[in-house]
Amino acid sequence: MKFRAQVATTSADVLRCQYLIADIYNREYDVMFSSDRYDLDAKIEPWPHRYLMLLEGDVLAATLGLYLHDTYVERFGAVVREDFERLLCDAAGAGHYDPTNLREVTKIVVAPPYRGRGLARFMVGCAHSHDFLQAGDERAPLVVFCAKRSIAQRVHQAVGLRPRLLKPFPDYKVHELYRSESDPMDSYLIVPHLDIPTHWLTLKLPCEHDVSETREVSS
Amino acid sequence: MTSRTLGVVPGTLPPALTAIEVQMSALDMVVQWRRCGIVADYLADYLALSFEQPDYARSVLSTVANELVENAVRFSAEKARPIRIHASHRGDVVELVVSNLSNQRHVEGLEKLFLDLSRDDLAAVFRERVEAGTRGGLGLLLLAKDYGAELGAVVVSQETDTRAVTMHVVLPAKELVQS
Repeated sequence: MKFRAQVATTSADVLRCQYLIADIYNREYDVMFSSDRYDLDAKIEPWPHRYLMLLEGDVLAATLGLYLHDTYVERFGAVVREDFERLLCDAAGAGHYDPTNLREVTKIVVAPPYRGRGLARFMVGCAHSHDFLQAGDERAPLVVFCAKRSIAQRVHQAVGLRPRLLKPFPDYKVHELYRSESDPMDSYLIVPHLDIPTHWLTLKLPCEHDVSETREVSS
Repeated sequence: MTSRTLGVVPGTLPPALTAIEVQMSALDMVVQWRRCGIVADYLADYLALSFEQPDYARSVLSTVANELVENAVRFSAEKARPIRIHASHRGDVVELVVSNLSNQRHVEGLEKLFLDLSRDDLAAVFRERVEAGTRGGLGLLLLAKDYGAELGAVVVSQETDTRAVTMHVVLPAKELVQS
């Protein structure tokens, strides 16, 4: 089955991504969204700034978002500059990264009819390309994300990414239907030139892939 | 299909002098939560012009409408299905009627809320709910406690778990005048 991965460039594309994310996040986690406010106790989350689309023909099969600034990890994860510096000290050759220049991959959703085919993994791989992460910025950013441990293992690590644990993510009401004691949430850091496989980092968007091939690569 | 009434659903009210009805998709509100406030403000602006103190009336009506809109969106089982809001100024009262499709879990919450609303000391009910950490229904409770609103709901059981909920709120017009 062929899928096309592309950045959402028009307002209509962005809206399609937002409606798919909102529909799934609200159905599964009771979450609402806003462009201009957030309230994690009231389950209102901020929208990402950029979106990746995974299309089968004209059908939006999956999408994810990217915070270009004011990342969730910084705002709500209680992660401070020293946490980044500590991990960067341990990462050889990572001294040129600016710990304030962060991107966060977030809101990974797959439409129900397309689940169970490895689309989330393929899309997360695509999302770690320079084309998606840098958004025209010359400086290579650091990448962060927060997720349940099971997602970090079954999605991020499964496509060859090597996330570095920053710290446990604090408890918020907004995540009450997402996380659990047996599957807690953490914040992670990814140092691009060390932790992202080259074939993902240099991937050019838009691109087309047979997802069944990606499953073999990632398994 | 079976129908049940919770709380106080008005029988015959005075005829509408001014009325407006809006319909929207709950998913639109989920995508941009601020739209709940926009719809509430729009309804409030529309009706407030009929009152002697439109700014004050607008503030109260917006608060009441916002609570009802947010509640309907949060508890709509199928977010693509429409929510309808009918707001009318009927002389001595303002009536707001909000219809949406919900589910049994929400209806059970409403039943508990209306049981509490039937008690005399609403301030005590409010305090108990806050102390118990029960956030759900606090806004509706405030409408009764702070604005003297009468609340009622008609619940119609449909196929499977779906429940058509029509919430009625009747607000005394005197509450829209600053004393």
